[in-house]
Amino acid sequence: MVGGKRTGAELVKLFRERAEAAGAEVLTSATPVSARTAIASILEELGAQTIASAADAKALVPAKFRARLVRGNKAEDSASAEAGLVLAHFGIAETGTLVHLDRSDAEKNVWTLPPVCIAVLEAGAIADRLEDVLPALTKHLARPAAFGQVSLVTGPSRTADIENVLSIGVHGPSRLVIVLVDGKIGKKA
Amino acid sequence: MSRSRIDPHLKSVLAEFSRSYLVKRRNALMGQDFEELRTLLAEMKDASLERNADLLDKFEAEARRRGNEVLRARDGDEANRLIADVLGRNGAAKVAKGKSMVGEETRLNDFLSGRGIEPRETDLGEWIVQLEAEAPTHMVMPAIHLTRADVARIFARRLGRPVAEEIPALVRIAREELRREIFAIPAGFIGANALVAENGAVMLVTNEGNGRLVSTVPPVQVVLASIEKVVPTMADAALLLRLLPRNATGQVFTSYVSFIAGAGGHPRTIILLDNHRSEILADPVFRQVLRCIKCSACLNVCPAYKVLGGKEFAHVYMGGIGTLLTAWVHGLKESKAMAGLCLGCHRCEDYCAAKIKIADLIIALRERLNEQTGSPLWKRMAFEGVLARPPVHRAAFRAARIGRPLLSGRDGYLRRLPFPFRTYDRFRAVPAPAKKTFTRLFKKSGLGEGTPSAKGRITIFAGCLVEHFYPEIGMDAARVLRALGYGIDLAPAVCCGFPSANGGFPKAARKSYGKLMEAIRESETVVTLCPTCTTMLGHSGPDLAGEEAAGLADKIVSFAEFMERKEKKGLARVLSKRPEPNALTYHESCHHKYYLKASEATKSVLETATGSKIKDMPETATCCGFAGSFSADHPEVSEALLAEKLDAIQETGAGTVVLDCPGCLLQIRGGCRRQGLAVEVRHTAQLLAARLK
Repeated sequence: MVGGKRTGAELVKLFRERAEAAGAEVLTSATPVSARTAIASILEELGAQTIASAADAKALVPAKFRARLVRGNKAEDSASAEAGLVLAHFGIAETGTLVHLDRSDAEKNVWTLPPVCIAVLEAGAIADRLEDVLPALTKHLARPAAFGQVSLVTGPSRTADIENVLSIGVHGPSRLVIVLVDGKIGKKA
Repeated sequence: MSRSRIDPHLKSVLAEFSRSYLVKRRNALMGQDFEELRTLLAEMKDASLERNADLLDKFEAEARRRGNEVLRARDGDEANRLIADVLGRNGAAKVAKGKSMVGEETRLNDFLSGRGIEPRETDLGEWIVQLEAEAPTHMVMPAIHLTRADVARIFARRLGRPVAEEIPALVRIAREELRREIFAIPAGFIGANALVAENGAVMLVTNEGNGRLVSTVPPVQVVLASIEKVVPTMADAALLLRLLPRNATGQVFTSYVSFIAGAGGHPRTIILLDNHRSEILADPVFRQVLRCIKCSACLNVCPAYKVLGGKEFAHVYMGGIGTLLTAWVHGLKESKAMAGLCLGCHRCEDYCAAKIKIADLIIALRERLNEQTGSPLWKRMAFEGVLARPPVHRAAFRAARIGRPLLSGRDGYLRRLPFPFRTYDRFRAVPAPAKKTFTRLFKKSGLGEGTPSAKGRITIFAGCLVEHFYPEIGMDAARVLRALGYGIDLAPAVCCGFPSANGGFPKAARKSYGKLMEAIRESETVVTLCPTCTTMLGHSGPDLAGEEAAGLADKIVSFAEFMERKEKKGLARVLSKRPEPNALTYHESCHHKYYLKASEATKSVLETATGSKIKDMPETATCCGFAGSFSADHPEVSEALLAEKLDAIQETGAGTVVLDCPGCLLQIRGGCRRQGLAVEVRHTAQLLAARLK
């Protein structure tokens, strides 16, 4: 730590630790191109025939899977997809949390409805604590005209409601795969 | 009490749950300053409550600007009506529900069913209890009382086919069934963990993601939130999030946290429920109840809840905090039985995320219950007729001493009680009053004569149990103090007033304490031998007496703390260095640990005095089940807690249990005797005195 603040590499390390502790899988990629390759191999491994993606993550869909893309505008589309591909706006190292500034129900649904959620996050967008990204959240929620919702997602959907035994995937995805990208992903659609 | 209120299966589930909770919580709080955070949270909630009306107006205006409808409900019935109207207006005959304790409070499901609207719970635990037509028994874990076999049976009945008793398979069934329902149901309903005034956002915290689904997929949206949930800003919400998951489930963070501000094209109605919370707000004593963020930590550590569970220790809300809420939202009368189940151990207060003085407030609630709903005659007789009147009190014990040969065997324990009283002594032998009181033995001993050194004089206040049952503890304390060079006086053997105060009889308590207060006015230092009396003399009594007791609390110190603060070196001088014959373990008495915060002082004195390490007792800080009149009111709970305590003691393998409270000593020694355990149970003063050179 430098002056009480964690450095970039420390943030990435802590984020990964905490996200994995919460049950997420974390992959790292050096560039957007290699990120797309990583995503393609996850989708192949899943044998995914339908993939949901909201508008903001569409550019991340590997070329060979474009044809299998459903836009996820309707909840039913996301629910029938085998994987959802999303873009997180921030990461929070301290808790291994992904932050998404929601702009539509469709975006929220892609995060929640498919059994596997693949979330892309720029390593540079990892903050130390929730408090550090509050200005962005507050700004997003401040505009009355916009959709104005925020989601914080940490690990897959979980329950311990039967006998206090942890089970995953009860309502949301049973797998959350986080693809960390070193560089800039480019214009967020 | 014909039917046993304790379900052995549930009791073991809750014990395991509490154990694993404590481990997870400790890990999740690593690197966080819990005390500082909860102080900040309490301050933030207090400040928010102070301007609750303004914040609600602000929230309402901001939520409306973002396309939400906001309605206010005075009570549960009105909230239910408003919700049914919204659903009816939108043609919804079914509603998919996220978890909401406030919805339980208003009995929304019953109301909707009566209006022909079918509520469908979607939180797994809530769904299970709904299918079983039961109520949640824990605020965070609604179905904690059911096993996987129960759940398989419930699901099999619903699906009309056999279901495997495997948790992953059961969870998969829930996913499929509930997903189908959520997509088919036109309306979604959620509660709220907080309302953010600055932007009209509803904050929703869920692990399963069901709240996220029902607040997104169905077109019509309803939110029900109680008015104390409103906080000013996102920063305040973030503070709440720093504590809620960590303290509730021992998670660093919850899977899904949503801030839902804009209605996003849904018709969304937010209902703000008062249901007597304005009255709590206006009550200076009870206002802090509204700081509660429903994390349930208090339940998870409550010894009585752990034994009884949330069917017995509940109305709708459970446990200690539930008792307090119940008194307002469901009525004082409904809280009466619950108020009697608080052991007064104060353990919950160490864990509360909002620093609510739950156990103290339950005592205050008992006062109101006694005033407004009456109190049992025997309690009034005991507290006002006997304990508050020293001559009557003395006469009662004198009579018992005269009858001693008839009542007790040679071993000093009462003979087994006759049939209707069997429950009271089945699990622990009850001692007969001692042949001679501590006061009498002390006077005869000459220990009070002269002042041996310049250290001056000390007043011992022994308390009723030492005075009448365990005078040897008093004599041992006197011998140790004398050996250290103090002159010794005895405070008069009157009741300190605690039992009356605890039972909700402040007048009788004030009367008892008042007599003692006058008697110790001239004393410089009063050393006590019972942590419960110490609580009364050092805290509750001076609070009751106000100005008149100014400065008196500072003179009061427990025997162990006195030794730790003043005489560690002195003890090294007067005590022998020989090894203890038995390995020692230490039982932390509730008032000693949670009120006086003095357990570490005792341990340090014991380790210094004996030169050996204390063997840690599992769950050392859980009540032994005595808790004064509690063990007479609820012998089953008392027995269950004692059984756990005896198991814990045996697990240490120690031959001697040391403790600081004569009440715990009565309970634990009596229990050891009934079970035939060869374990010595001794007060700190006894252990030290036995080592005097």
